[in-house]
Parts: sequence; structure tokens; C-alpha cells
Amino acid sequence: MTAEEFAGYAKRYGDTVYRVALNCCKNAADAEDIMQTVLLKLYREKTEFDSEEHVKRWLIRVAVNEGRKLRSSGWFKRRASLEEYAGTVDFESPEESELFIIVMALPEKYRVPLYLYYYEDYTIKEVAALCKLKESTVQTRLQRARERVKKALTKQEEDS
Amino acid sequence: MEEKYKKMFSRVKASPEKIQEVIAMTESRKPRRIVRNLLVTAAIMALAVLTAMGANAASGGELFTYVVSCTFNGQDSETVEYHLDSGDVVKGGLGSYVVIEGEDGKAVITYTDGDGNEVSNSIDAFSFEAKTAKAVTE
Repeated sequence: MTAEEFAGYAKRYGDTVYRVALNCCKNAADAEDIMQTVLLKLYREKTEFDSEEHVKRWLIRVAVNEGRKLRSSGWFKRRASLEEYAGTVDFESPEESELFIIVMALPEKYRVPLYLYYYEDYTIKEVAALCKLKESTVQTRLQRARERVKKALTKQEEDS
Repeated sequence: MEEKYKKMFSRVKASPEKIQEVIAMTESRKPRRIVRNLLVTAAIMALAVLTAMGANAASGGELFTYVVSCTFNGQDSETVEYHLDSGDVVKGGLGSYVVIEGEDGKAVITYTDGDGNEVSNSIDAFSFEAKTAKAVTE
């Protein structure tokens, strides 16, 4: 892979890798580290990718792996307030920021499938392959995640 | 919810500086020689693990950079640079390969395949000839 090709991929998929990593580890600093690690792995990768989509899936898969590795390692220690981080994101409204907090409060096992399904538009089958899960597991997790988000949003409306 | 979720996450972006940092790292790097055989690299690194582990123990766990050059088939050579952190984890130049000591004391290489999956292989059965090996304190 040439430096120019790599720069193109880094610019096009840097945000995707970062978001997957953020969903995995719930911490902006760790997510940035994972993003850089994953991109550097891509640069060194000798695989002949079939297509742009193959590159994207490879990046997501490696980001999920790196996120899991970080979570299981002793290095998963850095914790910054999510509210603090949300304050640095350019959300359009307080509701958007609140939705972010609600989604990030979900357990990790729900966050990543939710992101891949709703944001990246992957099918349940594709999400299952990317997360190395059974399709039925993905389906259940998506359903439970939806229920939890709806419940949290309803509670928030009632409280306000 | 789907639409709100999409809109919300579209605002979450990586720092452009961090992306630029990675691009700059690769631009400043000279093209690397193609490794003809992953297992050759693994074997080189297995030697490095053993060499580095001994040196690291002697240094009291100090962080080292190791450069190992190897002649393979009398003509190809590859330089592997890596950091030894805790005495049991070694990374390749940019972190593509990780060599760890397996439970049975054998070196195990972990790398990422074309589908992005992590693959681990025990690499105790390969022979090679190391030309030079040196440790440099960071």
C-alpha cells in the first residue's frame, strides 16, 4: 500500500474506526489510541484487498479486536467523564448530547452491534460476522438495546 | 430513533490531528522490504524474544529497542525492530505482529489475517540464522 493510498483510507475511515473504538472502550483517549494502532496495522497489512468495502470491514474487525484486547488488559484504566467528553462534541442540541450519554451508558456488548447496525447500515448477518457473534445473539442484543434506549428516553421526558 | 441515532453519531469524530499524525508517520517511513514468508519473520522474532528476554532480565526490566537482522536463503534479509516492555510481550516495528510466550514456554505469534481476525500460531519448529542482534536502550 502506498503512502497516498493509506492517507486516503485514513481520511475516509478514521472516523469510523474511532467511533467503533469509542463504542468498545467508552473513552476518547483510548479510542484515539486504538484508531492509530488500527490504521498503522492497515499500512503494514500485506493482504490484497478486493474492494474499498473489504478495507472498511477489515478496519472495523481489527478495531473491535483491539477494543476487546484493551478491555481485557490492565491498560484499560483511563476513565474520563463521558459528560465531559460530550461537552467537547459539536452536538446540535442538548437532546442529541443526552442520547449520546444514554447510548454510551449501555453495556459494551450492545453498543458495538447497535452502531454497526444503525449507523453503518450493516445487516444483522454482517454485524454478526464483524463482531464474531451468532446472528440470533445480535438480534437479541439489538432488541434489548432498543428497549433500554426507549425506556431511558421516556424516563428522561417524564423527569423533565 | 434510527434517524436521531445516526445524526447524533455523525457529530462524533476523531481528532483530525490524530489522523494526520498517523499519516505523517507513514510518509516519513522508508518503504519496507517485503517479507517473503511470514513465518520467517516469526522465526526471527522468536529469536529476538529469547535474546531480548535475557537482556531484559539482566537490565532489571528496562525498556529496550532491539534490531535483529537475518539472512534467509543466503540472500534475503529483513530487519525487525521492536520494543520489549514487560519481558513477555514483543511488538514488531509498527505493531503488526505480536510475539508472546505461550503457557508451555513456547513463543506464540499473533497476527491479523485478511479478514481482520487475529490468528495465533506456535512457532517453535522453524530454524534460521541471525546475522546480528543488538539492544539499544531507549
